[in-house]
Amino acid sequence: MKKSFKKVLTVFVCMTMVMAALSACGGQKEEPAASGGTAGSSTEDTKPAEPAAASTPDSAGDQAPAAGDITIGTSISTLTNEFFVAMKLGLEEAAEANGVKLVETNADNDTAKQTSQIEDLISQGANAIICNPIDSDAIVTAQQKTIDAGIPLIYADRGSTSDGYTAFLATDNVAMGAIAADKIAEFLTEKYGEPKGKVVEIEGLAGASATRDRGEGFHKQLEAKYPDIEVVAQQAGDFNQETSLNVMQNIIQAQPEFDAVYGHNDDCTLGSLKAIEGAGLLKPAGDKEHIYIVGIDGVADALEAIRQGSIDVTISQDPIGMGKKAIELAIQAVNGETVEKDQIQGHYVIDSTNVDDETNWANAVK
Amino acid sequence: MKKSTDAVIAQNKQNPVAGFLSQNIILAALVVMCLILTICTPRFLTVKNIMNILMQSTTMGMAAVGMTYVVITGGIDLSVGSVLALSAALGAAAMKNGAPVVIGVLIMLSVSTAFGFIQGILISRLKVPAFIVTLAGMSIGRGFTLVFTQGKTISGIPKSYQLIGNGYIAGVIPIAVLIMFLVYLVAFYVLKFTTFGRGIYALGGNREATELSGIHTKRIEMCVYGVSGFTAGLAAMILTARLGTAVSTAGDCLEMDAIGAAVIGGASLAGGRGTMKGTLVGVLILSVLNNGMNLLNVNTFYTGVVRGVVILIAVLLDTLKNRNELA
Repeated sequence: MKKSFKKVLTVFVCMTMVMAALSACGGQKEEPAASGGTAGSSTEDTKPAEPAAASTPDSAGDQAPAAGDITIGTSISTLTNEFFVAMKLGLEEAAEANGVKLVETNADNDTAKQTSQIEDLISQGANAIICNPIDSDAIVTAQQKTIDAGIPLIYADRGSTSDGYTAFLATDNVAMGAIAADKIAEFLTEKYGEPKGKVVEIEGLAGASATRDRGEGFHKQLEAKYPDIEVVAQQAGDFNQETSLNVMQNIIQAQPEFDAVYGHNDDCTLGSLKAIEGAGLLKPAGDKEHIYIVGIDGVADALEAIRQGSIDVTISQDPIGMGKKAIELAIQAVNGETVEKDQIQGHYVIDSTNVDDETNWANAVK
Repeated sequence: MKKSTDAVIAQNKQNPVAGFLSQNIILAALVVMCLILTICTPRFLTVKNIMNILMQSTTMGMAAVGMTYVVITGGIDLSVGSVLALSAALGAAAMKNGAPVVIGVLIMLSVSTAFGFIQGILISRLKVPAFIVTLAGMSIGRGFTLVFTQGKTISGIPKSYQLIGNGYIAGVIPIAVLIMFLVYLVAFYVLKFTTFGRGIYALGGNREATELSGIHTKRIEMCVYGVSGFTAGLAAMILTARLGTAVSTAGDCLEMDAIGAAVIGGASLAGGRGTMKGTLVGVLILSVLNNGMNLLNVNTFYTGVVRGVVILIAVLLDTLKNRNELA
């Protein structure tokens, strides 16, 4: 009796542990990502087949309600990340400016929740839905329901693996990786007179599409334009400050001499910065031994580090602009206008010259 | 069993080192790992690197202390990562708004301990399975953290506090590491030499018999979750000091590392087995593994595989040894 109970308990615990591992650890380290996909779901074909193809919304066009009567439903993947908070801000600003009603939902990185929230939005009679999918595969069901209901569907930041949506506002992670390479080359040219030197790369979460694209853009650019810049270490910081700190500490042990760090996001560079500081290698920008640090995202702490001269550059996306643009597209679609299907939302470089600009999303969110 | 013990003792006499290691397979695995890394890279066996490894062990190491207590009673605590994030956020916010460092630390420790105790009450008094209670706790803790921080990172924590994470004693030994070893010493003493500690083993070994012999099993069960919360708070204290910020996603998947370390160290998820020494070795195995893969610049895609295989080998060796001893 006792023994069999224990056995059952052990089996139960093991099973539930696996469940917990799957459910608990899937979404938390989510990174604002361009061409769809979440951690682990490496979707190669996230790019829709025909970019720039114009699509007319199937229905709702004939009704063409006045702006005041339009209700737009939004489904955001999570608000644990300031990036999406900024996107929400953009959505709200544009909705107010255009006089449309907004019904907002937050899926907490739970794909099932996102699907049911979109179903709810449909049944609540939303005229258009703006969605930031958690997973570009998992969103397909909800997408089909939206299409069936004849409601225009706009994707922001991440897209879907299946076609049929109205528009997709993407971030070009490959291009951001390439810019990071250009910036580092620029700094090293200043230092050595030519683009050469040693770079440490702190990668994001292995398998995430943002990691893949940001790495690919960076490496391709180095190979093509700056063959003398060497990536001396390349390890995963998991988009997580603690991991990046630990990894960078270890790399400093293995590779004490390097000129620059490229982090796949700001958590990677902020964690690395702590390790560099701890090892006594932190020299302010302008110092001969200054280690150049280039990250991506533009979060508040990275801006603060840029102000202090410890981080040099963060390549920022424009979530506020993305939110605004999504609302505009939604209104256009509801009014039956033609909407350009696949669009790239811009990104730009933040350094010491423009770190205090109000247009930087982290400054706006604060 | 008697025979094999005799054999081991005899072996010990012949070769004390080999005898000791055969008694401590997991420790032997750690030593072998370190030897391999020393051969592979000259950067491994340096004072600085060893200190780095210990430093990087602190978060997982702290959480694993409470987890070991819980696991020995036959329970599980999935909430440690969330509890860490919540207490770190509250303590950091207090210090950011001018509270003295001591108050900040007290907030972290009391919030986490209270969180653990509440879970302990639900588990011991209301007989809700620990897995369910702490799974809910994991969700609630993370949820509160996000509500409180609004998904933002809390920075601007006083430099004096950050000394806990970045300061050194005598220029070599990190303060955080010292705290960790002290906690392990105390936890070891309590588990081995106090009534509470023996009650933990008794509870995990045979609940009915323990209850019948008049030991307050409910009280013990409640307390172990309090201890687990407390050590998660200690982990929060050190992690926040190391990073200089409180991140809402801090401690993500920490429960898996902590449970893993305890189990690698010989704790049984069925209860009744586990030691502080074993857990410490388990923690070090995981940390050395991460460190080694960074030093050798192992391709990210392989690190997960290597990690899993090493853990499996270590636990298999231990299981085989135990089976031989029992046979």
